[in-house]
Amino acid sequence: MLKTLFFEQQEKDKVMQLLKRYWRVAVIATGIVLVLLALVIVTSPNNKPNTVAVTNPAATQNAAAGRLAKGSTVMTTDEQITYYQDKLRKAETAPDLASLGLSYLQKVREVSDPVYYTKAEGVLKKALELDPTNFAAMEAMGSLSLSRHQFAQGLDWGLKAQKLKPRDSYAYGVMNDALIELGRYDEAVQVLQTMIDIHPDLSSYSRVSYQRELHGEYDGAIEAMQQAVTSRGPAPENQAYVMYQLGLLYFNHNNLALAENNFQQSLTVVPDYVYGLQGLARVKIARGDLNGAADLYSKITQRMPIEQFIIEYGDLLNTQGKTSEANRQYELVRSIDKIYKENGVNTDIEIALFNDDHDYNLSDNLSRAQTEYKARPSIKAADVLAWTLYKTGDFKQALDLETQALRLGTQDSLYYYHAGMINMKLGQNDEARSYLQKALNLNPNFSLLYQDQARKTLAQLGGTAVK
Amino acid sequence: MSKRTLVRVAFIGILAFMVSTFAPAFTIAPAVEVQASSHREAPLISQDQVADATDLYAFVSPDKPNTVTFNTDWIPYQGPGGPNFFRFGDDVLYELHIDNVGDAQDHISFQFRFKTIVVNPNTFLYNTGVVGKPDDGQNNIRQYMTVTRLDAPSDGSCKNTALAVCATAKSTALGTNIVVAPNNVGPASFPIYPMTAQMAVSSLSNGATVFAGPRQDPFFADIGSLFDLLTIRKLPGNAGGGVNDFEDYNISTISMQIPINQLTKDGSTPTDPKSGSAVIGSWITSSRRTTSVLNAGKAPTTSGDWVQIERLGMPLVNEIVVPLALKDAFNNLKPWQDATIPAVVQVVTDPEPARLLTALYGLKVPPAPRTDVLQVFAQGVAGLNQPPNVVPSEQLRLNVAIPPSASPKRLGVLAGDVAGFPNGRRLGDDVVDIELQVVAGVLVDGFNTSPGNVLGDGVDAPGGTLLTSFPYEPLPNSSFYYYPSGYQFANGTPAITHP
Repeated sequence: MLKTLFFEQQEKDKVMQLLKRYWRVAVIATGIVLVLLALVIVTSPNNKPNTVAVTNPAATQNAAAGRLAKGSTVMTTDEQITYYQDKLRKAETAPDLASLGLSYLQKVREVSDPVYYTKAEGVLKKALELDPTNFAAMEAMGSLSLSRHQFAQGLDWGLKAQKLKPRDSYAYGVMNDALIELGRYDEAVQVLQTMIDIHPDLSSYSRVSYQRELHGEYDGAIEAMQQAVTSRGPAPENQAYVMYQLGLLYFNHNNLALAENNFQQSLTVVPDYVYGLQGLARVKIARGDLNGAADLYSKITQRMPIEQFIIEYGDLLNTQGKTSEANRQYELVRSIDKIYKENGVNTDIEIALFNDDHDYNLSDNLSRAQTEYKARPSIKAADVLAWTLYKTGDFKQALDLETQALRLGTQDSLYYYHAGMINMKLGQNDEARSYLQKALNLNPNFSLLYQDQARKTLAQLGGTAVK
Repeated sequence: MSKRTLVRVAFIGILAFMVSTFAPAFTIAPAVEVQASSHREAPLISQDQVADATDLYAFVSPDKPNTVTFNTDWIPYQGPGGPNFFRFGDDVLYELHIDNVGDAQDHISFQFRFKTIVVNPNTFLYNTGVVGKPDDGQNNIRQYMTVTRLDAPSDGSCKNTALAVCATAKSTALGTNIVVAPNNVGPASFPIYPMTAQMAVSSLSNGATVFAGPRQDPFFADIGSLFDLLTIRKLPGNAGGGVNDFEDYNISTISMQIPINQLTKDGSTPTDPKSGSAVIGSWITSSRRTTSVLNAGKAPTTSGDWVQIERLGMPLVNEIVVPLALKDAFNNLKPWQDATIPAVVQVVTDPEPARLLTALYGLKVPPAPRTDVLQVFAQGVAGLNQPPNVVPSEQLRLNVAIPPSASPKRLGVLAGDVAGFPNGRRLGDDVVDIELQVVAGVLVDGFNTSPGNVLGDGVDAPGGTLLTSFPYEPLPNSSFYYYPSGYQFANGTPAITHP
C-alpha cells in the first residue's frame, strides 16, 4: 500500500531508495515483534506516552516455545489479518471487525506504515455500527485517535469507554493523554489520579512520571519512571520503553552515565530497539563521537522511518558538513509526512517546528501553528507557536506564548532556549541571559541545532553557563 | 493479562459461546494474540506478570493432618528463561487471606514481601559457580522473603477494609530473610537442585513452614482440544488422551503449611466437620502502591496505599463466573463487596456457560436460579464446607475437620472423596472436569446423568511428579532440559532433553 502511494507520489530516484528502506523494514518487522510503541511515540508530541503497548511478546515467546514443543505453528500479523478478513467474508461480526482493527493497529506498530490507520478506522467504525457498545472497538478507536493526534476525539472515546466500564483504567489513560495534549492539565491530573488509584502499574506509573516532568517535579518523575521499570510487565517492548524514557529523563538533565546505562538496559530487553539506539546516539553526540552517532542513526532510520529520528539524523549530517545528505533526510521527512496526512495523522505541530528549525515555508507555518494552538493550547503548541512567531519576527507575541509554554514550570532546555532568544530580541538581556544559562545548565547537549548558538549568544550577553 | 489467563479465557470462551471472540486470540500471531485479547480480559493485569496469580490450593496436609497447606501460585507461563529469570516483584505485596468466620471479611492476612540481592552486579550470570545451598555466595541473584501475619482487631474497626490498609490491624512478624529457592538453571550450576530447593523450606515463628520459589505448573488442562470443541463435541470427552498445555511451564509458588489451630477462629483443631469453626475460607491477592500524581513542593513519593490489582480464590472463577464487563472490577473487588454487586450475584445464579451447554450441545441443565452453583462458588456446599450464617463471597472453602483421603479421587467430591475439590483444592483435583460437570448440574437431583456427569477435557493429572511432602508441587522444569524430545537446534545439534 505504502509502495503504491509512493509510486503515485513521485518518480524520483530517492523515492526508490525509500522504497527499499521501507521494504526492508517491513521484512524485518514481520519476523520479529518489533518496537510496538514506535508509532505511539512517533506521533506523540514530546515523545511521551500516549498509550503503552499492551502486547505480551514474552508470554508469546513462551507460548511459541510451547507450541513448538507440541509441533504446531504460530501465525504472523499478516496471517492474522488474512484470518479475520476471511472470517469476515463469511459473517460480519463486531468482535471480528474489532479484532481486525486491532490487527491493523498492530501492523502500524510493526512497520510504521500509517496506511493501516485508515484501514483500522474503516473496520472499527463498522464494528461500532454493528454493536455500539463493543468495548474493544471503542478502546481501539481511542488509541487510533490519539495516534492520529485527534485528541478531542480521543477524549470522547475515552469518556464513552469510561461510562461503560467506570473501573477500567485504560479509559482513564486515554483521557489523561488526550487532556494533556489539549492543554487541560488540571483535569488530566485528576483523571490520572483516578487511574493510578484504580490500578498502579507500568502504564499508570509512566504517566505519573510524565505529569511530574511536565510540572517540573524532576525527582518525582525519575522515581515514578523507576517504579514503572520495576513493575514491568511481560512485554519486552513495554519494559524497553520505560527504560528508554528513564534514560531520556537522565539525559535531559545531563546525567550521561545513567542515561547511557538505561538506554543499554533497554537494548538488553529488546535487541536493536530503535529508541534505545537513538538514546545511545545522543549520548555519543554529547561525548563528541559524531561519526559513531551517525552510524547509529543510519541504522535506526533504515530500520524504522520515524520522523523525529530522521530529522535528528539530518541535523547531525548538517553539523558534519554533509549538507546534501542532510537535505535528503529532510526531504524524506516531508515525504513521510504526506503519507501521515493522507492517513489522517495530524503532525502539524511537529512539522511546524521542523520547518521553523530549518527556515522552510515560514509564512505557511505561522498560520499552521496558530490553528494548532487554537485547537489544542498545550504547552508544546504554545512553544511551537512562540518559536514560529520568533522566526517570523513578532517577538512581543512570541514572548507571551513562550510564557504560556513555561506556565507549568516544566524544565525543558529547548523551551528555555526559545525564551532566551525571544527575550534577547526584545532587548531584555537579563532575562535572556538567565534563560540561556538555565538551558545550558540543565543540559549542555540539549540540541545539536542550538546548543552552540546558545553558548555563543550567552557569551555575547556576558554570561557563562555554570557547567 | 497473563498468557496463562489468556489460555484459560480461550477455554472458557468455548463455554461462553465466545468462540468468535476468543478463538482467534488463542491461535493468532504472538504479539497480536495478546494485543487483541488484552482488550477483552482483565487488560489491567495484562502487563503485570509478576503480580499475576495463577492458582490457589488449600488442603489438609496428607502427611501432617494437623496442618493445612496453601500453595499460592504466581507468575504464569515461565518458559525456559535465562539470562533474565523470573522472580517475585520487590514492590508487590503478595497476600493469602483467611476468612475463618464466613462473614466475607479479611480476618487474617499472611503478607509476603520480597527483596532482590545481586551479589555481583558486574556479571550477567544468574549464578557464578556451582550452587549447593540456595544462599551460596555463587548464587548471584537471590531473593529473600519476609512473612508477616495481620489479624483483624476484635473491635471490628477493620470491618469492610483490607487488613493491608487498616491501621488497627495487628501485625506479627513470622519470619525475615527467608531465602527463595533459585531457578533450576541446569545440572552444571545446580548439581543437587532438588536438595538445594528443599533447603529453602523454612520454619516460621508460629510453627508454620514456608517455601517460595519456582515449580513446574501443577495446573492441568487441554486447552487445545477444548478450543477446537473436539472434546465437547465428542461427548462425553472425559476419556483421557488430552494434551496438557501447562506442563512445559513453571510458576513461582509461595507455599505455607500452617497448623490448623493457627487458622480457626477459636484457636481449636476441630475434628467434627459440623463444628462451627471447621470451615476456613481463603483467597489470594496482589497489590501495588498508588501514588499522588503531583507533590508540589514536597518530596516525591511512590508510597501511597496498597491497591489490590489481582484476586483469586476458586479456580477459573474469573473466567466462568465473572462476565467480561466486570472482569477488571473483579480483580479490585473485596469479598465483602461480592454480594453487593447484583451483576456478580446474577451471573453466579444464572451462569452463562450452563445456558450455552444447552444451546451448543443440547445438554439439559437445571433451571436458574442455580443455588447449586451459588453454593460451590460463593457459599460453600451445605453439609460440606459451608460455614454457619455464611455471607456469600467468592472464596476457596476448606473444611479442616475432614481428614485427608488415603486414596484421593481426581473428581473429588463428585467421586465421593469429600477431602477434595470443591472442599478446598488439592494439587491432583481435576478442577476443569469438576467445574464442567457442576455447571452441567450434577449436584442437582435428577441432573447427575450422562453426558453431563462425564464431561471433561481428557487431561486428568498434573504434568509433573507431585512430592509426597511439603511443598508438594513438582520440581521446576530446568531450562537446561527444556527442549522437547527429539528437538534439534538450527545447526543440527540435538538438544539435551528430559532425562
